[in-house]
Amino acid sequence: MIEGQPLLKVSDFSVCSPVGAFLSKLDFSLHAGEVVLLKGANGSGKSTFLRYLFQLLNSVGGQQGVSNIETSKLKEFSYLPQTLNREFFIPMTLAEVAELNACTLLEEDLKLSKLLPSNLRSKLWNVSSGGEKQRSLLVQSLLPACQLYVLDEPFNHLDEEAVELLVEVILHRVRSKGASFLIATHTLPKGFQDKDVSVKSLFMGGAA
Amino acid sequence: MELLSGEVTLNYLDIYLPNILAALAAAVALAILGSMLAARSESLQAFVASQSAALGITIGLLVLIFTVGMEHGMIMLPTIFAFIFSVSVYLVTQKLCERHRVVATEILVAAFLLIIAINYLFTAAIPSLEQHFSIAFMGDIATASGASSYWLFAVSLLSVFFFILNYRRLVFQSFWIASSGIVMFPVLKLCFYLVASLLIVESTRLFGFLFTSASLLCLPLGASIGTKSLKGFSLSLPLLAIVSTSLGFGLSLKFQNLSTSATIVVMQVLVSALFVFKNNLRS
Repeated sequence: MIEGQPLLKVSDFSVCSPVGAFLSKLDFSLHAGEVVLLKGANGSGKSTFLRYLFQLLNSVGGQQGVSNIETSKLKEFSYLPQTLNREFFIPMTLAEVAELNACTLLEEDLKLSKLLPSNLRSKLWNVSSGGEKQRSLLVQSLLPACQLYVLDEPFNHLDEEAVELLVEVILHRVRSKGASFLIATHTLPKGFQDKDVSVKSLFMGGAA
Repeated sequence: MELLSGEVTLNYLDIYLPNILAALAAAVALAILGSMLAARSESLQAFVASQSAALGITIGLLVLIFTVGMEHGMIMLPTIFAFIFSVSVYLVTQKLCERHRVVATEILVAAFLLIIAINYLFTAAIPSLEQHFSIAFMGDIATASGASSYWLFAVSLLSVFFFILNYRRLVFQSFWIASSGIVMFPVLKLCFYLVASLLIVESTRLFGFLFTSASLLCLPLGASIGTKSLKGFSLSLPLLAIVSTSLGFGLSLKFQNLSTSATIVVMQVLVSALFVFKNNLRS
């Protein structure tokens, strides 16, 4: 059990759609070095909640949170939204997309480097497959050192090998850097049952 | 003869130096701005904003004529009107497009046509505005005054500095707006649109809608099709702007019958097309 003040505390929060329809209720806290998996059926409000949380953290003065979302201990976070798999007007290689967030992918970061192997790096974003694009976006969001990583459906489009790699990267970040992860996902990939890492599953729209 | 030709060239440079500097700086700034707007799928919004600026200028001049008179020297009034109009029309059309995504293109085209019609209504009714309308629409870069040119040069230079200083973050922001509608760095977004409005308004007011819109669209289009990386794109964009604008300006000075802005636009399209052709041939 991880103790101390949580990085993120959500109390009795109602997730509503953009037109105001009630989707589900959330009540959880996320401490440093912890992984929270948000699970639930399509339309249960996982992405809506993460998007709202991002807007809150991203707004000026938003670090203080609102009445039922407390984020005062949180200073740095990284967010990977779900993409619409669109082409981009400016031509970019997968490596350039990965390094857009003002960070450089170093070969020393072996686990992250494996996620975007050198044979993929010079490939153009607009002609890459969904899985290749997802690998590049994952590296982009995992490159900066942050307290909290908010990942929306990070396993989408990935093959088995990439899923395993990503789980390894996540667990390594938690163990070595004490980072926290809030992940919206439909599936619980193998390997997340690690006795050293606290992994909580929350079911949106159903019983926890 | 050579000496004479040299003297003539020197004189041309003396006379047109502020105009040449302003045209080059504006083309570079507008090309970078256009690339960011296109990356956010907002090229049409830029056209509408530019046309709204032209309408704002007409209404500003109209207010001047009917109140204090044209010779009074309240030169900032058309700029203020242009700024208010372009920002208001941008915000209204943006809101409408967000609500009705499926017909966003049609909304913007309708707004564009409506603004042209209103502009024409005013200028047709008041003959003294006709010349100003023609300048605001087609522009004449070579005949812009030295003070106007230096002002546009300063605005363009300021915009280029802003774009260069924030380039990576702006591309990052554009990428996520295009990919998922998420806005990273909201304060930077506000600053970006303020700089964009000022640049579009002043370029439309002083060098016309044609030059402004073409620089916003043609140059980024050429760089986008003709390159295969962000680095290549970022380097070729200012290069295309400088080469094509210099060629266009030079040709319009050599052949006096050619309109400067129209020649520059033709050269922007030609140079961009050649750039794409050459790069595709190589690959």
